[in-house]
Formats: sequence, structure tokens, C-alpha cells
Amino acid sequence: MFKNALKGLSLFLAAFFLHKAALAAEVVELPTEELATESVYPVFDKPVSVKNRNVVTAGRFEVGGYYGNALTEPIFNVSKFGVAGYYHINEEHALGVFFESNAAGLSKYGEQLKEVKGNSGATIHLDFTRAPAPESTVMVDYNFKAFYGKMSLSKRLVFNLTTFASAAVGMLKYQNKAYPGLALGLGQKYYLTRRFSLRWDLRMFANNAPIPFYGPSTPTSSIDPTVGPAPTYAQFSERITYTTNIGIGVAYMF
Amino acid sequence: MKRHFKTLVTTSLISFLALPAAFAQEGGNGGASDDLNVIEMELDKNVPKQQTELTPAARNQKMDANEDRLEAQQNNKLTDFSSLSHLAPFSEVSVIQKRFLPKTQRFQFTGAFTTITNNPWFFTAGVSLKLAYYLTEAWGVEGIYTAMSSSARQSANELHDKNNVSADSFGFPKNYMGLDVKYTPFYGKMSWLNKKIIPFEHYLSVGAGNTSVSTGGSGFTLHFGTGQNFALSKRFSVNWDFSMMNYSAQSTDGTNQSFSDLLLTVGMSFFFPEAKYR
Repeated sequence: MFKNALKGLSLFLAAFFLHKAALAAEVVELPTEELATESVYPVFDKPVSVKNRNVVTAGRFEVGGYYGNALTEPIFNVSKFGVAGYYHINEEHALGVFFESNAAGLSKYGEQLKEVKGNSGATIHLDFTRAPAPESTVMVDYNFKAFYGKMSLSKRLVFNLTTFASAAVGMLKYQNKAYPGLALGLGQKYYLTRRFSLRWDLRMFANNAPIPFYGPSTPTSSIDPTVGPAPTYAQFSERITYTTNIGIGVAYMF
Repeated sequence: MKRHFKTLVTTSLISFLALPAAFAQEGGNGGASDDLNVIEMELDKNVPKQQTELTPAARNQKMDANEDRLEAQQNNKLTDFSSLSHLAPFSEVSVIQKRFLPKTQRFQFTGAFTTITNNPWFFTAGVSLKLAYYLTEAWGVEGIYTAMSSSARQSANELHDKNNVSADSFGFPKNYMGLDVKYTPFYGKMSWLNKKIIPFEHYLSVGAGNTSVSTGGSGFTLHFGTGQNFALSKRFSVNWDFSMMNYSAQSTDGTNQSFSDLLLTVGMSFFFPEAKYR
């Protein structure tokens, strides 16, 4: 009788614990650190970032003007004034032409060197107006408009912009002759309206050019007016020069 | 007979005790079945529209499928997932992103390469370390240390060799240390070839510091800058900026000379602590 009572009790306990386990299984608790804290953006096969472009450039022409500054020009006037015209083949590629005219005169350093102390301590007069100066540049320019976006000014004003890379080939005319050259650069356009934009670009020009630093050891001519007559342009040596240019201007699309 | 009675009583007892658990599970399944029903409804909604005219074979197949589904619903189980492959594709999914790189009350540590772009006599380049703290999304302060080294360009060598004039008197900066106030009024997004969106911001900075010059002097410096910060994640960004350093320092001949250096800086930033998720 006692044995049977024990059996019954053990069965009762077994049923009781199973019952508890069944209830416990309903609650699933996960460690907090395993829970997601941030949403994840889905990855799409064919993502399209811009559904409706505010500024449509494909198949349109653009003209503009700008001021340029030859940042690494040592001797001659660093200012340039340019005009440019482009045809936008599509939203990514544009092809055009730009023409720049160099301002006449000397740079700040060119002016300083008119009267300067030489290595020997004596005063030297270097008149670089006797050297052939750059006059103008004309180049065919290709623009790769990889980035298109929009910016907001403190959430009050929204405007569009493009960032582009440029590659140009053409001719640079000096007072003595014209030299072929190329230019690579980066720039941005800020569209104030759908047609009108402000632009800036940074270009590195590489071209053959006459070197203004003329000084044969036995001078029959010199760029120093106190030493002798001016050399002919043909007497100046040539080499490849690299000049960094920054341009700031406006453009209008139609 | 007595033994059978005992077994019966014990079994009844077990069944009685286990009954609440069974009910509880059924209740849970009730919730789950509700979910399943919802899924079923969703599946029904997403199934492409059926053809109006069906062949007899297809009609039989459809009836069989409906019977199977009905049976599965009665058993409260999903057995046939084949219809999932016929879901109508999304015609358009738009993702609207929040501000990607929050900065408020965060530090920005930047390591960058810098070069002076407007010195025709010396090629000057160096490393710039910056630490910024943002009080708000728009306003922050930034400490800057820049160390630079220079080498003479060909024009400086030619001026020396052909005209006996050293370009050293023009000078170049060796290092700069200063503090800027950063104002970031522009926030934007750029798409890369219409495939990827890159959040960025455009900032302006103004500050002051001290520049040591190659001529041996040093001078109080006004520092102005503008640049862009392209977010790669909530912690990292790449950035570039143009900044102008205006200062006066003693020249090699003892006279005071004014300098204006235009620096182009390209670098990478690390933001900390971790952004607060919203």
C-alpha cells in the first residue's frame, strides 16, 4: 500500500514538473546584446538613387565664364579670364571647349625680382618682361559627371550640385609660339536654379613652355637691363612645366 | 482489478495535471495560428492575379491545391510554400534615410595629408592632425597641428643657378598650430553614378594660431577654410578642404614679410563616442 502511494506520489511530481516546464517553454528570452539596435537598409539588385532629377543636363548646351588663377606661376601675372561651352551628351558625360586669356604683366614675385639681392650680396635687376609670357589657352575639355546630389543650407534652402572630373587637351600660346598641353582636374557646380550655376574647378596643366630664367655665364644679352640688351625669344630654353590652376565662375544651361 | 483501478486513477491524475499545460500550449498555438492566419492573408494578397480562363487540368490542380490548403489550415500547419515563389515582385521600394552621420557631442579625429598649392618656388607637403568637438550639428571647435617639409621646385633651382638669386628668402611654413571654429550649415547627399548615395556636409572654418617659417621667424596666423566631409559610416568619413593661412614673419634679411598660403588637405576622420541611434 505504501509502495503504491510512493509510486502515485512520484507520478504526481513528474506530472507537476512537466506541467511547469511546458509553461516555461512559452516565454522566450533573448540577451539584450543580441537584439538589433539599428535598422539595416536593404540591398537591391538595381538601385536607383535619383528617381527624378531636378537638374536635367542630358542633351543640353551650357556656356559660362570664369576667373582663373595660376597658383604656381612664379613670374607672370597669375590671373586668367575664360569662357567655356559644353554639350552634355548624357547625365554622366559632357564635351566642350574652353578659352582662357592671360592677364598681362608680372606676378607678385616677378615684381619683387626687379630689384633683389643676389647670392653675392650685390643688387640684381631681373626684368622678366623680356621673357616670353603666356597669352592664352584653348582646349577641348571632357567632363565626367560622376556625382550628382543636393545640399541644404540649414534646412532653409535646397540646391543641387554636381562633382566632375575633367580631362582636356589643347594648345597654350606664348608670346613666341604655341605649345601643346593637357590638363586634368576636379570641379563642382552648384545649381542656384535649374539653368544657372556657380562653378569652381582645380586643374593641373602640363605643357612645354619657355623658361623665363635666362642667364648665360658670358652674357651678350640678359634679362637684367643693366647688363645688356634683351635676348631674343628663341634664346630661351624650353621644358615641361606643371601649373596648378583654380577657376571660379558661372554657367548657364539651355 | 484493484491494480487496474490504481492505474486508472494514476493515469487520470496525470491527465488532469497535464491538462492545463496542454491548454496553455493550445492557447499559445492559438496566438501562433493567428499569426499564421495573418501570414496566410498576406500570402493570399501577394499571389499574382489568377488567369481568368483555366484549362480543366489546371482547374483540377487548383482545386487540389485549395483542398490541400484548406486541410493544412484545419490542421493549423503550413505545408505548402510553393506559392511563395509566385509572389508579385515589388514594383517600387523607396528608402528614406535619416541624417547619416550625427555629430552632436561627438569628437572627430582627423589624420590628413596637406600640401600648399600656391607656392611656385617650393613643393611643400605634410601631415595634419585635427581634433574637433561638436557642440551641435552645426557648430564645433577644432584644434589643428600641421607639420610640413619642403623641397625646391625647378623654378627655384633655375632662379638660383641662372640668375644668382636664392628663393629661400621667399620662405615656406614649417608647422602650424591653431584653433578653429567650425560651422556646418550645408548638409547634402550625392549619388555616385545613380547607384549609391553618399551623405556629405560642407563646412566653413575660421580661427587663429601660430606658424613657424623656414626663414626662422614665426607669426600670428589667421586661418580660414572650407571643405567637405563625405560619410562612409557613422564612425568614418573622408574629407577635403581648402584653407588659407595669412601671417607675417621675419624674412632672411630681417624684414617682416607677409605670407598667404593656400593649403589643400585630404584626410580621413574617425568619430567617437558611438552615435546615439534614433
